[in-house]
Amino acid sequence: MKIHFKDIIKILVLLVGFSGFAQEKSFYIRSIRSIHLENTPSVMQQLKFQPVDVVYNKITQFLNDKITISSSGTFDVSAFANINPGVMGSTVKDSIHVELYLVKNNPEQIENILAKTIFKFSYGNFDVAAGLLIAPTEVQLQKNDEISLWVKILPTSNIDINKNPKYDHVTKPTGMQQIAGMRIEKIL
Amino acid sequence: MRFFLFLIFFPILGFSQESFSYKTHKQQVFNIRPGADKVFHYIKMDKQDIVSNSLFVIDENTQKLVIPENGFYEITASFHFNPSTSVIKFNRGGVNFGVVQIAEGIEQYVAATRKSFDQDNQDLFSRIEVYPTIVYLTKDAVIAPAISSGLLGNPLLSCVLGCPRKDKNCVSFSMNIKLISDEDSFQRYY
Repeated sequence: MKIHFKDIIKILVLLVGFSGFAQEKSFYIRSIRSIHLENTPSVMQQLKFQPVDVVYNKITQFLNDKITISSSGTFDVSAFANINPGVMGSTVKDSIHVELYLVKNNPEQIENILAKTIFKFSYGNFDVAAGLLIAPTEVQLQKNDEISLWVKILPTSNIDINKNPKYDHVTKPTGMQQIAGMRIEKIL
Repeated sequence: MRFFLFLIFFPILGFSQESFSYKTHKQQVFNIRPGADKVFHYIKMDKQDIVSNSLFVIDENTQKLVIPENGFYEITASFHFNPSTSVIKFNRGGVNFGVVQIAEGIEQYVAATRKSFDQDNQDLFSRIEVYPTIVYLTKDAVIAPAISSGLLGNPLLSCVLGCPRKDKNCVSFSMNIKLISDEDSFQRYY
Protein backbone atom coordinates (compact mmCIF):
# COMPACT_ATOMS: atom_id res chain seq x y z
CA MET A 1 0.00 0.00 0.00
CA LYS A 2 1.24 3.45 -0.88
CA ILE A 3 1.42 5.97 1.96
CA HIS A 4 0.57 9.52 0.92
CA PHE A 5 1.93 12.73 2.41
CA LYS A 6 -1.55 13.40 3.92
CA ASP A 7 -1.43 10.09 5.77
CA ILE A 8 1.95 10.94 7.26
CA ILE A 9 0.56 14.26 8.54
CA LYS A 10 -2.45 12.42 10.04
CA ILE A 11 -0.13 9.98 11.77
CA LEU A 12 1.97 12.80 13.19
CA VAL A 13 -1.12 14.63 14.49
CA LEU A 14 -2.43 11.43 16.08
CA LEU A 15 0.97 10.66 17.59
CA VAL A 16 1.11 14.05 19.27
CA GLY A 17 -2.43 13.47 20.57
CA PHE A 18 -1.66 10.03 21.93
CA SER A 19 1.60 11.09 23.54
CA GLY A 20 -0.51 13.59 25.49
CA PHE A 21 -2.51 10.67 26.91
CA ALA A 22 0.66 8.81 27.73
CA GLN A 23 1.52 11.35 30.40
CA GLU A 24 -0.94 11.80 33.20
CA LYS A 25 -2.39 15.30 33.45
CA SER A 26 -1.25 15.97 36.97
CA PHE A 27 0.73 18.34 39.14
CA TYR A 28 2.64 17.35 42.27
CA ILE A 29 4.69 19.59 44.51
CA ARG A 30 6.27 19.04 47.94
CA SER A 31 8.34 21.31 50.11
CA ILE A 32 11.91 20.20 50.69
CA ARG A 33 12.42 22.71 53.49
CA SER A 34 10.63 23.18 56.80
CA ILE A 35 8.38 26.22 57.28
CA HIS A 36 7.94 28.58 60.24
CA LEU A 37 4.49 29.58 61.49
CA GLU A 38 3.70 32.72 63.47
CA ASN A 39 1.76 32.48 66.72
CA THR A 40 -1.13 34.52 65.32
CA PRO A 41 -4.45 32.75 65.92
CA SER A 42 -7.20 33.40 63.34
CA VAL A 43 -4.70 34.63 60.72
CA MET A 44 -4.26 32.70 57.47
CA GLN A 45 -0.60 31.76 56.89
CA GLN A 46 0.50 30.49 53.48
CA LEU A 47 2.72 27.45 53.09
CA LYS A 48 4.79 28.66 50.15
CA PHE A 49 6.47 26.42 47.63
CA GLN A 50 9.45 27.15 45.40
CA PRO A 51 10.26 26.05 41.83
CA VAL A 52 12.69 23.40 43.09
CA ASP A 53 9.79 21.75 44.96
CA VAL A 54 7.94 20.78 41.77
CA VAL A 55 8.07 17.03 41.13
CA TYR A 56 5.70 16.71 38.18
CA ASN A 57 3.79 19.33 36.23
CA LYS A 58 1.62 18.90 33.12
CA ILE A 59 -1.35 21.13 33.98
CA THR A 60 -0.23 24.29 35.78
CA GLN A 61 2.09 27.24 35.44
CA PHE A 62 4.43 27.92 38.32
CA LEU A 63 5.72 31.49 38.11
CA ASN A 64 6.81 33.81 40.94
CA ASP A 65 5.86 31.16 43.53
CA LYS A 66 2.29 31.06 42.18
CA ILE A 67 0.60 27.90 40.92
CA THR A 68 -1.99 28.71 38.25
CA ILE A 69 -4.26 26.33 36.36
CA SER A 70 -3.49 26.20 32.62
CA SER A 71 -6.97 25.22 31.36
CA SER A 72 -10.47 25.03 32.86
CA GLY A 73 -12.01 21.73 33.88
CA THR A 74 -12.76 19.24 36.64
CA PHE A 75 -9.87 18.47 38.97
CA ASP A 76 -9.06 16.17 41.86
CA VAL A 77 -7.08 18.02 44.55
CA SER A 78 -5.42 16.82 47.76
CA ALA A 79 -2.71 18.00 50.13
CA PHE A 80 -0.89 17.38 53.39
CA ALA A 81 1.26 19.19 55.95
CA ASN A 82 3.12 17.68 58.88
CA ILE A 83 2.89 20.11 61.80
CA ASN A 84 4.57 20.13 65.20
CA PRO A 85 3.55 23.00 67.55
CA GLY A 86 6.87 22.60 69.39
CA VAL A 87 5.65 23.19 72.92
CA MET A 88 4.96 20.89 75.85
CA GLY A 89 1.80 22.24 77.50
CA SER A 90 1.28 22.02 81.23
CA THR A 91 -2.19 20.62 81.92
CA VAL A 92 -4.50 18.03 80.35
CA LYS A 93 -6.91 20.83 79.44
CA ASP A 94 -4.40 22.47 77.10
CA SER A 95 -5.05 22.18 73.38
CA ILE A 96 -3.98 23.67 70.06
CA HIS A 97 -6.36 23.56 67.09
CA VAL A 98 -4.93 23.93 63.59
CA GLU A 99 -6.69 23.94 60.22
CA LEU A 100 -5.15 23.30 56.80
CA TYR A 101 -6.82 24.79 53.72
CA LEU A 102 -6.52 24.19 50.00
CA VAL A 103 -7.58 27.44 48.37
CA LYS A 104 -8.19 28.97 44.96
CA ASN A 105 -7.38 32.67 44.49
CA ASN A 106 -8.14 34.94 47.50
CA PRO A 107 -8.02 32.89 50.74
CA GLU A 108 -10.11 35.43 52.67
CA GLN A 109 -13.28 34.52 50.72
CA ILE A 110 -14.94 31.41 52.18
CA GLU A 111 -16.25 30.26 48.80
CA ASN A 112 -12.64 29.97 47.59
CA ILE A 113 -11.76 27.25 50.10
CA LEU A 114 -11.69 24.06 48.04
CA ALA A 115 -11.13 21.71 51.00
CA LYS A 116 -9.92 21.81 54.58
CA THR A 117 -9.02 19.63 57.54
CA ILE A 118 -8.56 20.20 61.28
CA PHE A 119 -6.22 18.66 63.86
CA LYS A 120 -6.53 19.13 67.60
CA PHE A 121 -3.24 18.73 69.45
CA SER A 122 -3.78 17.61 73.01
CA TYR A 123 -1.64 17.34 76.12
CA GLY A 124 1.22 14.87 75.67
CA ASN A 125 1.26 15.26 71.89
CA PHE A 126 2.18 18.94 71.46
CA ASP A 127 5.79 18.19 70.61
CA VAL A 128 4.98 15.39 68.15
CA ALA A 129 4.37 16.08 64.47
CA ALA A 130 0.89 15.24 63.22
CA GLY A 131 -0.12 14.77 59.61
CA LEU A 132 -2.88 17.12 58.50
CA LEU A 133 -4.35 15.56 55.37
CA ILE A 134 -6.82 16.95 52.85
CA ALA A 135 -8.48 13.96 51.18
CA PRO A 136 -8.83 13.95 47.38
CA THR A 137 -11.70 16.27 46.50
CA GLU A 138 -13.30 16.91 43.10
CA VAL A 139 -13.51 20.61 42.20
CA GLN A 140 -14.22 22.82 39.19
CA LEU A 141 -11.39 25.20 38.33
CA GLN A 142 -11.05 27.91 35.70
CA LYS A 143 -8.02 28.81 33.63
CA ASN A 144 -5.66 31.09 35.64
CA ASP A 145 -7.14 30.10 39.03
CA GLU A 146 -4.31 30.30 41.56
CA ILE A 147 -4.04 27.31 43.91
CA SER A 148 -2.38 27.60 47.32
CA LEU A 149 -2.05 25.91 50.72
CA TRP A 150 -2.74 27.74 54.00
CA VAL A 151 -2.67 27.11 57.73
CA LYS A 152 -4.66 28.82 60.48
CA ILE A 153 -4.28 28.40 64.23
CA LEU A 154 -7.83 28.53 65.54
CA PRO A 155 -8.81 30.91 68.36
CA THR A 156 -10.17 27.90 70.28
CA SER A 157 -6.53 27.01 71.08
CA ASN A 158 -5.69 27.84 74.69
CA ILE A 159 -1.88 27.77 74.59
CA ASP A 160 0.67 29.31 72.22
CA ILE A 161 2.69 27.45 69.64
CA ASN A 162 6.49 27.71 69.92
CA LYS A 163 7.31 31.39 69.41
CA ASN A 164 11.02 30.97 68.73
CA PRO A 165 11.55 32.67 65.31
CA LYS A 166 14.07 29.94 64.41
CA TYR A 167 11.61 27.10 65.07
CA ASP A 168 9.90 25.61 62.01
CA HIS A 169 6.50 24.09 62.79
CA VAL A 170 5.80 22.53 59.38
CA THR A 171 8.55 19.99 59.43
CA LYS A 172 9.89 16.48 58.84
CA PRO A 173 8.37 14.22 61.49
CA THR A 174 10.88 11.96 63.23
CA GLY A 175 11.57 9.01 60.92
CA MET A 176 10.26 10.41 57.64
CA GLN A 177 11.29 13.07 55.11
CA GLN A 178 7.91 14.38 54.01
CA ILE A 179 7.06 17.98 55.08
CA ALA A 180 4.12 19.31 53.04
CA GLY A 181 2.75 18.62 49.58
CA MET A 182 -0.06 19.14 47.13
CA ARG A 183 -1.47 17.20 44.18
CA ILE A 184 -3.77 18.38 41.40
CA GLU A 185 -5.08 15.98 38.76
CA LYS A 186 -7.17 17.01 35.78
CA ILE A 187 -10.05 14.57 35.45
CA LEU A 188 -12.08 16.22 32.66
CA MET B 1 -2.12 1.18 6.52
CA ARG B 2 -4.27 0.17 9.54
CA PHE B 3 -1.72 -2.41 10.59
CA PHE B 4 0.98 0.23 10.29
CA LEU B 5 -1.01 2.53 12.60
CA PHE B 6 -1.55 -0.31 15.08
CA LEU B 7 2.20 -0.96 15.22
CA ILE B 8 2.86 2.70 16.00
CA PHE B 9 0.19 3.13 18.65
CA PHE B 10 0.35 -0.21 20.39
CA PRO B 11 3.36 0.57 22.62
CA ILE B 12 2.05 4.06 23.44
CA LEU B 13 -1.43 2.82 24.37
CA GLY B 14 0.14 -0.03 26.29
CA PHE B 15 2.12 2.48 28.38
CA SER B 16 -0.82 3.82 30.35
CA GLN B 17 -1.81 0.34 31.48
CA GLU B 18 1.24 -0.32 33.68
CA SER B 19 0.01 -0.49 37.24
CA PHE B 20 -0.04 -2.66 40.37
CA SER B 21 -2.94 -3.04 42.77
CA TYR B 22 -2.87 -4.93 46.07
CA LYS B 23 -5.55 -5.44 48.70
CA THR B 24 -5.67 -7.67 51.76
CA HIS B 25 -7.93 -8.43 54.72
CA LYS B 26 -5.20 -10.30 56.60
CA GLN B 27 -3.90 -9.28 60.00
CA GLN B 28 -0.31 -8.59 61.03
CA VAL B 29 1.10 -7.73 64.43
CA PHE B 30 4.03 -5.39 65.12
CA ASN B 31 6.19 -4.33 68.06
CA ILE B 32 7.24 -0.72 67.58
CA ARG B 33 9.78 0.80 69.96
CA PRO B 34 10.72 4.39 70.87
CA GLY B 35 13.99 5.65 69.46
CA ALA B 36 14.00 3.09 66.65
CA ASP B 37 12.79 5.52 64.02
CA LYS B 38 15.22 4.19 61.41
CA VAL B 39 13.80 0.68 61.69
CA PHE B 40 11.19 -0.06 59.04
CA HIS B 41 8.68 -2.76 59.91
CA TYR B 42 7.86 -4.12 56.48
CA ILE B 43 4.39 -5.41 55.73
CA LYS B 44 4.30 -9.02 54.55
CA MET B 45 2.61 -9.33 51.20
CA ASP B 46 0.92 -12.37 49.70
CA LYS B 47 0.81 -12.98 45.92
CA GLN B 48 -2.78 -14.19 46.34
CA ASP B 49 -3.80 -10.67 47.39
CA ILE B 50 -2.58 -8.99 44.20
CA VAL B 51 -5.70 -7.55 42.54
CA SER B 52 -4.00 -6.68 39.25
CA ASN B 53 -0.46 -6.26 37.97
CA SER B 54 1.00 -5.12 34.69
CA LEU B 55 3.90 -3.21 36.26
CA PHE B 56 6.19 -5.58 38.13
CA VAL B 57 7.75 -8.84 37.00
CA ILE B 58 6.26 -11.35 39.43
CA ASP B 59 6.65 -15.12 39.30
CA GLU B 60 6.69 -17.94 41.87
CA ASN B 61 10.22 -16.99 42.99
CA THR B 62 9.64 -13.23 43.35
CA GLN B 63 10.43 -11.85 46.81
CA LYS B 64 10.54 -8.11 46.05
CA LEU B 65 8.72 -5.50 43.99
CA VAL B 66 11.39 -4.10 41.66
CA ILE B 67 10.75 -0.91 39.66
CA PRO B 68 10.99 -1.96 35.99
CA GLU B 69 11.98 1.37 34.42
CA ASN B 70 12.87 4.98 35.20
CA GLY B 71 9.81 7.17 35.41
CA PHE B 72 7.21 9.05 37.41
CA TYR B 73 5.06 6.80 39.55
CA GLU B 74 1.90 7.60 41.47
CA ILE B 75 1.61 5.77 44.79
CA THR B 76 -1.37 5.40 47.13
CA ALA B 77 -1.74 3.22 50.21
CA SER B 78 -4.21 2.63 53.02
CA PHE B 79 -3.56 1.14 56.46
CA HIS B 80 -6.12 0.01 59.05
CA PHE B 81 -4.18 0.13 62.29
CA ASN B 82 -4.80 -0.21 66.00
CA PRO B 83 -1.99 0.72 68.46
CA SER B 84 -3.72 -1.65 70.92
CA THR B 85 -2.32 0.13 73.94
CA SER B 86 -3.24 2.17 76.98
CA VAL B 87 0.17 3.80 77.41
CA ILE B 88 -0.19 6.66 74.88
CA LYS B 89 -2.50 8.53 77.28
CA PHE B 90 -0.83 11.93 77.76
CA ASN B 91 2.35 10.68 76.11
CA ARG B 92 3.79 10.72 72.63
CA GLY B 93 2.17 8.51 69.99
CA GLY B 94 3.66 9.38 66.59
CA VAL B 95 3.77 6.53 64.06
CA ASN B 96 4.76 6.63 60.37
CA PHE B 97 2.99 4.71 57.60
CA GLY B 98 4.08 4.60 53.99
CA VAL B 99 5.90 3.10 51.05
CA VAL B 100 9.67 2.74 51.26
CA GLN B 101 12.17 2.82 48.44
CA ILE B 102 15.28 0.70 48.88
CA ALA B 103 17.88 1.91 46.38
CA GLU B 104 21.67 2.14 46.53
CA GLY B 105 21.60 0.85 50.10
CA ILE B 106 19.31 3.61 51.38
CA GLU B 107 15.86 2.94 52.83
CA GLN B 108 13.50 5.91 52.87
CA TYR B 109 9.81 6.65 52.61
CA VAL B 110 8.94 7.95 49.14
CA ALA B 111 5.29 8.37 50.12
CA ALA B 112 4.22 8.51 53.75
CA THR B 113 1.71 9.76 56.29
CA ARG B 114 2.37 10.69 59.93
CA LYS B 115 -0.34 9.62 62.35
CA SER B 116 -0.27 10.91 65.90
CA PHE B 117 -2.36 8.78 68.21
CA ASP B 118 -3.66 10.08 71.53
CA GLN B 119 -5.79 8.91 74.43
CA ASP B 120 -8.91 8.95 72.23
CA ASN B 121 -7.75 6.48 69.58
CA GLN B 122 -4.93 4.52 71.27
CA ASP B 123 -7.08 1.38 71.50
CA LEU B 124 -9.17 1.72 68.34
CA PHE B 125 -8.69 0.97 64.66
CA SER B 126 -7.92 4.08 62.61
CA ARG B 127 -7.81 4.38 58.83
CA ILE B 128 -4.49 5.93 57.75
CA GLU B 129 -4.30 7.02 54.12
CA VAL B 130 -1.30 7.83 51.99
CA TYR B 131 -3.05 9.95 49.37
CA PRO B 132 -1.76 9.95 45.75
CA THR B 133 1.91 10.87 45.78
CA ILE B 134 3.94 11.33 42.61
CA VAL B 135 7.63 10.42 42.76
CA TYR B 136 10.40 9.78 40.28
CA LEU B 137 11.80 6.30 40.74
CA THR B 138 14.71 4.67 39.00
CA LYS B 139 14.94 1.21 37.48
CA ASP B 140 15.80 -1.58 39.94
CA ALA B 141 14.70 0.34 43.06
CA VAL B 142 12.82 -1.96 45.44
CA ILE B 143 9.47 -0.76 46.73
CA ALA B 144 7.89 -2.02 49.96
CA PRO B 145 5.13 -0.86 52.34
CA ALA B 146 6.19 -0.25 55.93
CA ILE B 147 5.33 1.09 59.37
CA SER B 148 7.87 2.77 61.64
CA SER B 149 8.22 4.41 65.00
CA GLY B 150 7.92 8.17 64.73
CA LEU B 151 8.16 9.77 68.14
CA LEU B 152 6.90 7.44 70.84
CA GLY B 153 6.89 7.75 74.62
CA ASN B 154 6.41 4.03 75.18
CA PRO B 155 6.76 0.88 73.09
CA LEU B 156 3.70 -0.24 71.17
CA LEU B 157 3.63 -3.99 71.72
CA SER B 158 1.35 -6.22 69.65
CA CYS B 159 -0.16 -3.34 67.70
CA VAL B 160 -2.30 -4.57 64.84
CA LEU B 161 -2.60 -3.92 61.13
CA GLY B 162 -5.94 -5.61 60.59
CA CYS B 163 -9.68 -5.47 60.95
CA PRO B 164 -12.30 -6.06 63.63
CA ARG B 165 -13.44 -9.71 63.50
CA LYS B 166 -17.03 -8.94 62.59
CA ASP B 167 -16.19 -6.62 59.69
CA LYS B 168 -15.90 -8.88 56.66
CA ASN B 169 -15.57 -6.04 54.13
CA CYS B 170 -12.74 -4.23 55.89
CA VAL B 171 -9.41 -3.91 54.08
CA SER B 172 -6.43 -4.04 56.44
CA PHE B 173 -3.92 -2.84 53.86
CA SER B 174 -4.00 -1.76 50.23
CA MET B 175 -1.47 -0.23 47.86
CA ASN B 176 -1.59 1.01 44.27
CA ILE B 177 1.37 1.98 42.12
CA LYS B 178 1.00 3.36 38.59
CA LEU B 179 3.61 4.43 36.06
CA ILE B 180 2.33 7.81 34.83
CA SER B 181 5.23 8.97 32.67
CA ASP B 182 8.47 7.45 31.43
CA GLU B 183 10.21 10.75 30.71
CA ASP B 184 13.71 11.24 32.11
CA SER B 185 14.10 13.19 35.32
CA PHE B 186 15.79 13.14 38.73
CA GLN B 187 14.51 13.38 42.29
CA ARG B 188 16.85 13.48 45.24
CA TYR B 189 14.40 14.40 48.02
CA TYR B 190 10.96 12.96 48.76
